[in-house]
Amino acid sequence: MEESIKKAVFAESCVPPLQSGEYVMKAVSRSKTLGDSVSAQKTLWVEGPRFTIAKEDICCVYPPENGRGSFGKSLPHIVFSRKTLPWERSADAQTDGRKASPSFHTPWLALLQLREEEGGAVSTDTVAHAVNPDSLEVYFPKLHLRKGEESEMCSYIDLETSLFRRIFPAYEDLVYLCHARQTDPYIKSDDTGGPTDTWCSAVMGARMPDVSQEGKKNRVYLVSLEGYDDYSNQAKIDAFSKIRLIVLYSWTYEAISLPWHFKEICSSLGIGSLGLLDTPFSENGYLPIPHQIRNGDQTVSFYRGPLTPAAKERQEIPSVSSSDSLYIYDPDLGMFDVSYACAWQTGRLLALNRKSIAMKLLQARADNRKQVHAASLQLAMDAQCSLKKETEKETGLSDAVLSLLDGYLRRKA
Amino acid sequence: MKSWFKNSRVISGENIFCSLKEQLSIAYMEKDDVTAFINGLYMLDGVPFDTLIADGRLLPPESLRIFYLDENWIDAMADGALSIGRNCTSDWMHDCAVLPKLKEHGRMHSAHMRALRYDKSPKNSNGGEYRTGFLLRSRLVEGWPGIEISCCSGEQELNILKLEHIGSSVLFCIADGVLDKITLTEPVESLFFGFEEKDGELVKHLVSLKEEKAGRDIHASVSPVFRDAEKGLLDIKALAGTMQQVLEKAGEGSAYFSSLEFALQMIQERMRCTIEINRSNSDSKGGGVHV
Repeated sequence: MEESIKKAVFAESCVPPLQSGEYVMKAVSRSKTLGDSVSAQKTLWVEGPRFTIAKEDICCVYPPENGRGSFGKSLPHIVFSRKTLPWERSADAQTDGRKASPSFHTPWLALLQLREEEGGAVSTDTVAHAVNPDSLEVYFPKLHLRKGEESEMCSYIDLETSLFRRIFPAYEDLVYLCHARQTDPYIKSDDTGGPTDTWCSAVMGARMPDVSQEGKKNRVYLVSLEGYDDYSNQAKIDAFSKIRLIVLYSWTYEAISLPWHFKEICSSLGIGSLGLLDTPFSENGYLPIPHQIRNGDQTVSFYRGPLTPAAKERQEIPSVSSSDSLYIYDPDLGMFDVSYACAWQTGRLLALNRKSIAMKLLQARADNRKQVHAASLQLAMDAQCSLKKETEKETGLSDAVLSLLDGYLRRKA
Repeated sequence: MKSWFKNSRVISGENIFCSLKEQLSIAYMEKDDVTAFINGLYMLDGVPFDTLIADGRLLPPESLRIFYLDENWIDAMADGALSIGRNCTSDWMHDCAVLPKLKEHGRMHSAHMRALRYDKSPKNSNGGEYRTGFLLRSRLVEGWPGIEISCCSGEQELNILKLEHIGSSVLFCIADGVLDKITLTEPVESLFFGFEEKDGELVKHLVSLKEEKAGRDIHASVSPVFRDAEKGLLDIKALAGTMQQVLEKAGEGSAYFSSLEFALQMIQERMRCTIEINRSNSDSKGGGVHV
């Protein structure tokens, strides 16, 4: 545990230099002597996730999606591979953008956790419809939309205000529920984001899951709080019977009271070496597979992939011109081992599949052959010259005589 | 009379490509995608799963299977990949002369590829004679995609040459050497938050926030503070406040108490599982799991 604590680096927030949203840039040039001033104004938008979040930005969730286990004592959380994401917008009402100290920015994301019996149907509609509820009973804060945003699709959930008050984290709690952390990607699978960034951000829920012996479904929603401001101390929300929240992501898990977690899953793993099936010869990793040979006959041959249960001695694999050359025949069994032939064919297909690589391979070979051709001509020429000199020395005949002689010999040959 | 061409190597049986090997600029050796492709072959990149594992029964659900990498197989595959356009004898002669070096190069470089990508210096430069690895098919892979892996041979930690997901539930790992210990650890980014249970009550044991011993257990605990106990909603601010008070009383507090300190307190201990592989009996059977 000592070591792993050293490895975990946390930060309370990771606020981007510019939050997403609309900015107005003004430039004024004043000239004292002439008494004139020129000004210009430009509106710009800092883009960022608002009504949807790309799947790639989500690193992982906990408890695992559709997971079933003893999660009863833990709070749900979601991790983003984008370290600034929770702070790219703010739940605070848009004032001058510099309300709180930057490191204590209230995030715009929070987790809502619902139990099975509390409903939680998510609707999907265009942003324009979602931000303007048809019913006067539904509360949604005023948001300033960018042109083109209205037609995007988004998901939302309408929640009873009384329930919302009882299960949603309070506004003042939000700052405690978000942080950034550092990870080491080298010890993880390449498919979990790769080496690009070692920092990620996390949002935690504030509600304990519902647990029972046989498992209770809990549904977690990642919701946007943009524009909600200090909702905990706003009486006006209570005037509405429902409150609408934009849902950016959601997942379900089941919490059971029996111990079933990482540890238990690890202990229940079946451990062994590859290739211990109850068939003969399989201790070497070989499997009998149907094989149609070139003349159309059906037979059964042995195949084994590159992963073997026991170490294999290195041997020389010659360059061949067709995969059939790599069949290994076992005269005792009267069967073929087609493993290396399959490997050869796989490699060939992989290379053909990559056109640019195939072209480069062919080009390199052609270039080499050209070079060798030139070099061999040179060699032949050298050989000819030295031979000529020798002949001259030996016989004392001149070039002209030799060429005549050569012509004669050739004709004769 | 001697033939003019007797000394010429063009028509003699000898492989001219071999004798000129040193002069040939092997275009494949340049730092480009061809080299990356050949290195990738040595890590079985792009090889279909059915070719790796011919029968699904070899890797049943909830299993971990260890293996040796058969590099002859990969040599055969590399030869197949480089065989395109190998039509006449002189193509074949060229390949016989040029390719062995290329394959050797591919194997050597595949050892550093991953470390370089992650900007790490390889832990032990002289890789093992054998490469081994494991396939893990489990809910662990699905539920904890960022699961942390380390492979050891005795006391020495091995370089991980490949660590990839195949689909969502299979993890494929190759290490440089003969592994006999695999450690699976819950990932840092999914360090999770919650309470411990003590005599049927939920409590949270606090850890020190003092600079030099941050993270040490201080044998003090707090109970969760609820806004709505029936619905299970916590009062995070009050909880953080209580934690801060307890810590200060114990003299283990810090000047601030923000989301960072709160997260540190709320972390539940990471689980780590070590799998030891006992190769001595019947070469590679089973192993003990230590959690």
